[in-house]
Amino acid sequence: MLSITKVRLKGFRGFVGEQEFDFYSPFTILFGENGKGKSSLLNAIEWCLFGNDSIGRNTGIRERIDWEIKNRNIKECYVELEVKENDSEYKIKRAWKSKTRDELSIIGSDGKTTQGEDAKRELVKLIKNFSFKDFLTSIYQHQEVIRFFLIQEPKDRNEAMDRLLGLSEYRNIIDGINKAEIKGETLQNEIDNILEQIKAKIEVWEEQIREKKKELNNKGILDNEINKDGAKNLAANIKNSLKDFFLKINLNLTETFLKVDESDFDKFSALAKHEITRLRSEMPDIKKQEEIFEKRTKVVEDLNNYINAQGAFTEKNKLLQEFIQKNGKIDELEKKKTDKENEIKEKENEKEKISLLAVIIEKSIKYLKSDMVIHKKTCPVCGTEKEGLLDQLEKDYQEKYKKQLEEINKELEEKRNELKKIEDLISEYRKKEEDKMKFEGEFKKVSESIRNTWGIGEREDIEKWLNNFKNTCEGELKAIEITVKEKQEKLNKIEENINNFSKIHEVLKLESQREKARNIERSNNWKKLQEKADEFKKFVEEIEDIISVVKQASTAEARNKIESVKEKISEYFKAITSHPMISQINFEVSEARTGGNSYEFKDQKGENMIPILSQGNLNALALSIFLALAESQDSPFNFLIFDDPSQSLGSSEKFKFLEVLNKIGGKRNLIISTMDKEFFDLSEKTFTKTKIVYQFKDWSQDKGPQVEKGS
Amino acid sequence: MKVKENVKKYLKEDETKRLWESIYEGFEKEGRDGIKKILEEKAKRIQDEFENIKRDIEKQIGG
Repeated sequence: MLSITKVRLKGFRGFVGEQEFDFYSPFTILFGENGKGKSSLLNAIEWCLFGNDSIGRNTGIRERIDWEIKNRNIKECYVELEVKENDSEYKIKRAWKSKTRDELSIIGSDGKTTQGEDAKRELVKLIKNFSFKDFLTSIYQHQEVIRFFLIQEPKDRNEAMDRLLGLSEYRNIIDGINKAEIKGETLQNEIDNILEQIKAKIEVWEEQIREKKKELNNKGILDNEINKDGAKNLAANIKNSLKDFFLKINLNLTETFLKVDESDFDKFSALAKHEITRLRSEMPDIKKQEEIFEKRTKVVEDLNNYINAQGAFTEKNKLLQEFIQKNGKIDELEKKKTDKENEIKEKENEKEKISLLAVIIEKSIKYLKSDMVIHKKTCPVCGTEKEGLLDQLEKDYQEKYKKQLEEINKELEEKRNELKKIEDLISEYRKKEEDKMKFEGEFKKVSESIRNTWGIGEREDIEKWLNNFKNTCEGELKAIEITVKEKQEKLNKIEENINNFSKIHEVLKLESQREKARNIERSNNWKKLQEKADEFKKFVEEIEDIISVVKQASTAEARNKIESVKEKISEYFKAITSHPMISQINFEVSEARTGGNSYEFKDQKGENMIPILSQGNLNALALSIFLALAESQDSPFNFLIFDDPSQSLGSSEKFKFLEVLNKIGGKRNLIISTMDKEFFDLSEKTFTKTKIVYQFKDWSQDKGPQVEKGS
Repeated sequence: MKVKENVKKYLKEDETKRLWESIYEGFEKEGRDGIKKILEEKAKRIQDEFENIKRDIEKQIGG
């Protein structure tokens, strides 16, 4: 059997620099508070022996998911175990290279080193193909198992039991299968849905067929004509009608239409419709009708333009004539203007003359009034002497000249006003004459253009000519309208036949779809679809079968394992607890509904013993199961590992458990990790064989665990 | 006996045995997620084939 004599490690989890630990004694005790590196040291042994098998989801240990091996603060990470088997010694070293890769090397007693795959094979040989899961069950009692065992929830205890018995893998596999959530009836349900949808579609199509047939019946198509032959006959009829029609109007049907196969319903229908459209636009009568209509529109437009231009000119001319009648011709107005201007001129001369005389008299009065003048009776202009000259002059000035001037000014104003009126009339005349000439020009232009457009002779009356031509057009239009109407009606009839043909075709298509849908369950594709649904169902049944078998295998294995060790479990339980009410423990194992096993713990009377067990008793029960399994298994290892085994044990149970361990120690080396001071102190007193004690005093990020060795 | 063989001995059908082997292989590679992946892939393959045939049928019926 393989014993560990020394562990050397560096950079593993909480460890930093290289540290080494001896494990050659019957008892090695690791003592210290939580988080100081005890468990990391035990984990290092696992990792060195089992590598990546001890990491991740596959271990079934929740804490191992995303577990980091290498200390983040150091580059190098390795664990080296010195082991002994009989007289041979080996150094097993595992070095971390990356998250997925490590390097294993083994140095034998002869100093020979094996590496890589060779080293792996040698290790498997050394540990007798013992798996990591076997190691968990029978060598390494994990503290988490005890912790779960102590939880009152049966679900957790069942999981802990599975783990103690090494059955976590079964449980995890069932979990994984259930996680996929594959349901059996999924595809069959979908097939049922498709059938329902098809049924609904068939109903819709039948309704549409009924509607369309009714429409066809209303158009005179009988039910016995609504079939392929009926459609073919109608197509032939349409083709012949179009041929006749084209022949009559001297046009040709397209080659494509002439060659189209009447049984190609879609193509025939589209081409026939195209021919109709072409006909409607290219038919000679229609073209002629369009030409006449265009001419008529143009002549009406010209007629309107002519009448408007003529009307405008006539209006302006009339205004001018009325003006002349009222105010005279322009020559007369011009003469009136000259006469008035002469009258004004004469009056202005008269005014000038009187003004000059008035100035002389005014000056004479001023002179005579002056103090410098002595001879006041002498006229300063003619030298005549006259009594009362000044008074006479003043009187004349006031009564004669001033009054005369005022009258002349008044007359002048009147004459100027009259002149202004004459000038305004002349200006108005000019404006009216200009307007008349402008509209006359417009009228001439329009007349000229119309004459040129229609070829109307100079002597012909435009309005009359246009009216005649308009009437001719309307007559022709009326005549051609009847012909066109007749032809359009014929075309409408053909077109209606084409529409009926299309409708028959639609009915046939719907009937074909309906038949296909009705027969779908007999088709190859449907058979294949059903096969796939069956394949899926079978796949799900296989999964269910596997789940059932995994549960069955797990339960059977649990029962076998327990059966083989149940006496030993009872023995250890009694030794650790001395429980007065329990002399024999019986186990009932059944398949749990959710996966894994369900365990019932019964006493010698067959009664459930859990309600009368304390937490310490439960802890003892977990330890008893582990010890019994460890003893029963054919293990290649000569050591057992206990990680925090005394979690809820009472003082007396701790002592008794240590006594049990004391008996085992020596037969197998025991590595015990604890944070329990009482348990540690008791172990000092209880263990009678050689022991090594490592006290984990402290832990720091840069140095890792600070450990003191004692004995 | 290892879990793989232990379960296999209880299975009767060869096809079920093959499915079990692939489930176990998935478990060995990626744990529970590996099983989920394997089963979902197999289910998806059948479902995809089913969908393709379904589409063909829909085309066949038309409308």
